[in-house]
Amino acid sequence: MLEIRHLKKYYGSLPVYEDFSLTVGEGETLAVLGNSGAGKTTLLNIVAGLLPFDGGEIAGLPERIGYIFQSDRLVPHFTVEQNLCLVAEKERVFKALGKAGLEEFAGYYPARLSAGMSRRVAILRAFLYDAPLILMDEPFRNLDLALKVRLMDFYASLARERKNSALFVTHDVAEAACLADRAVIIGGGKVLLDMPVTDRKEAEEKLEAYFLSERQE
Amino acid sequence: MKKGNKILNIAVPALTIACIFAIWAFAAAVTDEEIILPRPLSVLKEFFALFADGEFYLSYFVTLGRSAIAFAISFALAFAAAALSRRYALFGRAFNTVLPLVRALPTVAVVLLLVLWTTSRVAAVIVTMLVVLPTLYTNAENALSAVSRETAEMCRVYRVPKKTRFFKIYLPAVLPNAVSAAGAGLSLNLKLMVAAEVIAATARGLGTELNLDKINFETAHMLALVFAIVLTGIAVELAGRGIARAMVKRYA
Repeated sequence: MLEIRHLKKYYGSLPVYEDFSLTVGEGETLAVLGNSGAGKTTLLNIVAGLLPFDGGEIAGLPERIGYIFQSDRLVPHFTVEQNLCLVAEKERVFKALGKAGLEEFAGYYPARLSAGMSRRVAILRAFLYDAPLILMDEPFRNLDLALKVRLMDFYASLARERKNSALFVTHDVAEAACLADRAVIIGGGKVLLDMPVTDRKEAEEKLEAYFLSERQE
Repeated sequence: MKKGNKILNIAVPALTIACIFAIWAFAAAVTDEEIILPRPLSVLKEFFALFADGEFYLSYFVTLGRSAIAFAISFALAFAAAALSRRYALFGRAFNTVLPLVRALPTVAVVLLLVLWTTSRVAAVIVTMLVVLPTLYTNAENALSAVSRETAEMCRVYRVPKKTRFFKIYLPAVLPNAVSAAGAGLSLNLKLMVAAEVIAATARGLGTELNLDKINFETAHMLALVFAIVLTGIAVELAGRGIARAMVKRYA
């Protein structure tokens, strides 16, 4: 289980987190929602070890962490196969490509892939890394609805198979309700709402209601 | 590319060169003085005669060798400085303070001082190196920015081995810009080296030959040497650009 305890993070003198705590259970997908500037991406980058923090502790960090970034971050001069081989052996890569229906694109460079295709490769890379924890930073942002649904299905099928934990940052309550087991709303460096997602529709309504009430206040 | 454009791409430069030669031939005919302005044909004859001249090859390769040494040093320095500037902001600030000073240095004064402090050969190499350094540094900065922070972060998260990161990810990303910069830099380098050789009065080199031609009023030979320098510069620059384009095309 990943435990973030009393986290402190400042950008210069500006506090992002002053006493922030959060847990992610084993095999749990936790959606983190919040307004822009709430520190969602900062949280992921701290957990990924890309950003230092100023206090508190993070316990239960696995050795390997997969990260689906906002952009695909594929190496442009590597083919799909070479990009995936950075995190896994060739044999596993081809098996996974076959399962994902991407086998024929193994030799393609990222510039030749469609937006959806390269997103799928980025998602596949995170799962192929065999990490017990996957971080996702708005992985379905700026995609049209049909593609978003296809990719969410693609993600869900991989997640069901692997059963890893995931920390999932999003602005979209529907995405959170669809993919997460639990959702939290953060703001002002604190967890403002923490709720399990048992019923998709109900969770979506609750999250939406929270944001609406916040706006009215 | 359209066929019409292709034809224009060949016809326009060819016509421009033909015009330059026509103006030159006309001016030479009016002047009618081979020492002041030799006819294009005389220069061409001298140019082809260079290839049968052992002395020319010696001077040519001495200058080319010096240029390559000066270039290799400035290229390495420029990339090291650009990498350090990216990594340490303080170094970047310090280097960016020195750079305008280096750019503003009067070349002739530097050569004269260096001749006093070192030998003429070393002076030519150092001055060429110094003049090319700011341009190469800017190119190196552009080349290094091809390796985005995002790619570097991805490598850190997925623990890509350092050797793979450097040789397979960072280096190929930087290479097209670096090769293109090298082509342009080498051409500029050659030009500067010839000037430095003239001012520093080195014992051998194309600059030295040009100086001797000036003393002996061998204008046609002088222009033939200029031809050789220009053609070498263009060839190096085009080769650099071609290799860079091929590298970019491969991944597109």
